[in-house]
Amino acid sequence: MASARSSRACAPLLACALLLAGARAEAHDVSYAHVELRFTANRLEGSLTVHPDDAAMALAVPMPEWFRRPEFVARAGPALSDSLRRRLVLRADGRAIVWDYRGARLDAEGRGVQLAFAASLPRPPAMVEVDGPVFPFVPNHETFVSVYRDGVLLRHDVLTVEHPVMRVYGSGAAGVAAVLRTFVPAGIHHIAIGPDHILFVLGLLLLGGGLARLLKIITSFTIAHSITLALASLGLVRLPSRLVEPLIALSIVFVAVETLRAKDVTHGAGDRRALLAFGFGLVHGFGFASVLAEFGLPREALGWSLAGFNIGVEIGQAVIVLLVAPTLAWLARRAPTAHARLVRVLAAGIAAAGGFWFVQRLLARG
Amino acid sequence: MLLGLALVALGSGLALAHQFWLNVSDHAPKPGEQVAVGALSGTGFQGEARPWSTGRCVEFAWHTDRRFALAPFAQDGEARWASQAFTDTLGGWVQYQSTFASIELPADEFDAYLAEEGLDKPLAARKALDPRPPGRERYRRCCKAWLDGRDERRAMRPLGQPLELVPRARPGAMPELRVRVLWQGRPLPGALVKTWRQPLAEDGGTRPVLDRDSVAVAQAVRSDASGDVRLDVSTPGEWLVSAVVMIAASQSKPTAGAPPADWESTWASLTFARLAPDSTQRPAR
Repeated sequence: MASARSSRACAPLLACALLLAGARAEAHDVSYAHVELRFTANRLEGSLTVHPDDAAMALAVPMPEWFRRPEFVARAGPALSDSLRRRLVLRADGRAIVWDYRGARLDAEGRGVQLAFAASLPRPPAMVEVDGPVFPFVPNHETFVSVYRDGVLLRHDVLTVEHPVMRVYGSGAAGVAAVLRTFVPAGIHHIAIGPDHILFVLGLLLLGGGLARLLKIITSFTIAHSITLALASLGLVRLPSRLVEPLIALSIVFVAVETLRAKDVTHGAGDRRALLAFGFGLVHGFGFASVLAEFGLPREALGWSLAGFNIGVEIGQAVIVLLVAPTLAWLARRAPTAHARLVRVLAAGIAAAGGFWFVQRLLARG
Repeated sequence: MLLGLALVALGSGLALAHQFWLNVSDHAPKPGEQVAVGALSGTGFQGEARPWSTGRCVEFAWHTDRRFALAPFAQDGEARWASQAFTDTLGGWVQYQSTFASIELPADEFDAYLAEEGLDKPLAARKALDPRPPGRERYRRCCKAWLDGRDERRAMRPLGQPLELVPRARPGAMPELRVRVLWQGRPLPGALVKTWRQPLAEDGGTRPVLDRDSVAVAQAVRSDASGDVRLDVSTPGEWLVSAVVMIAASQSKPTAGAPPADWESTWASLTFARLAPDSTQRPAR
């Protein structure tokens, strides 16, 4: 891995070279920034530490080594602060936090230039967002963020181009509301954009039946996936996604084939759909958990975020049920032959889609 | 004159590769001593601390007669990755492997860097191109640090890294060290292996980051048909041994999450200490 990182020993020469080279993106192993945020009820004290190379790049200073001199750092601090203010956006309850520059110095641990800042807050924030990373255009750059409330560490996070936003939630009713505002829509969104879950629920509903039967099926599915979602999200049970994802596809095929084979099993001892829904619901819960893990589960609001996401998933499912079940029931009453034909076509389509995903996900394992 | 020097710097000096190595507080700890582990990155075996990043780690472990995972205890953003009590006097390895990261360099700089690192095949392949495109590379790190102990077999045992420098004797014990370069578990002939030496601190531990000076390459030698190199490590100090392999990315087995690139490099580093002959009389730490 080649690097454009300057050497301390030949700084003057490199300065000339850099002047000639002009401003170009440099890549190195140590492009990082550290953000430390300390919240109290109505105040934020923070610091932002950046590598000398990145500080030099931000201000188009030809010699990064200058940012290792205390007197230069003190002089350049305000300009660096103005430049970095645009690169690190802090929000409290959706509103930008306007912070005041409080000084610059060399970081005691030798990590680079440390800017201190502070801001007053109108009220304790229910949700704080840290929007980064500070140098997204520098390859491999990472911004390490630590958030404290009343001196207690709430969370560490690493902001990258792939993961640019960190959200930290406050305590109390306002904090809970903020968590739910984030995670309930996330659950709904996941169902809405996840054709595999939609087709599975649709497959469960195709055979129709009375309200009690449908409630039994959907409740079985809900209870099962809630169990595994919670267990997996809390790290108590782990299943690799290379196993879960093909199994979810297989569950879709299975339910659809069951529908195609069914004559009239909507009543009596032959109706095992609720059992199927429960069994496969356990598998789908692991799928939901992997989505939630990618979304980021806030440690400081673990229970509420989990509950919020689950509620969102249930709302998404309920919408499908409310749209599909009455429509199928209406069609079954008005045109039984067309209904039977539609059910078979839909079941065949769902089985085909599930089969495609199964093969695709199996191949993706390699 | 100055312009000329600057152009030389642009043409070659800026193409210096960053080494990346595990930085342990002491390569020859006493029983019970806490050994701090971090990583340094830079040129001239001087380096700057690389903060721990969970997302960049494939493997971070401590090997004695067993393997202890260290990654779960490391904290994102911390320069000190781990701190472990040295209780097994037979010796052991600290091992780290990174995920792939990417870099892109202008064609001339990339070619200068290939030449500097002795990566002849990629260089020859690029010279056949007209025009030569910028160098798009993904790279990963395979590092190991030896904590000295009596068990030579432990020192010689491969850890299974994609590119690994495997000592053929206990590192630091003798003035010459034979090292085998293993690529995907097989001896690799023709690999350029470089060494650097950094003086130890007065107490025999490794020098703190801010006290280190940039040092020149001590030795650069190609591995023989058996993948072996003989290294002169007679001078006491902390030693860094490094090698790199680069292949066309199209020849590489797909790795989940690996950034797109034209070239794929794997960097191996090995660090250990050779103590002064009277090292048994080490001052108390």
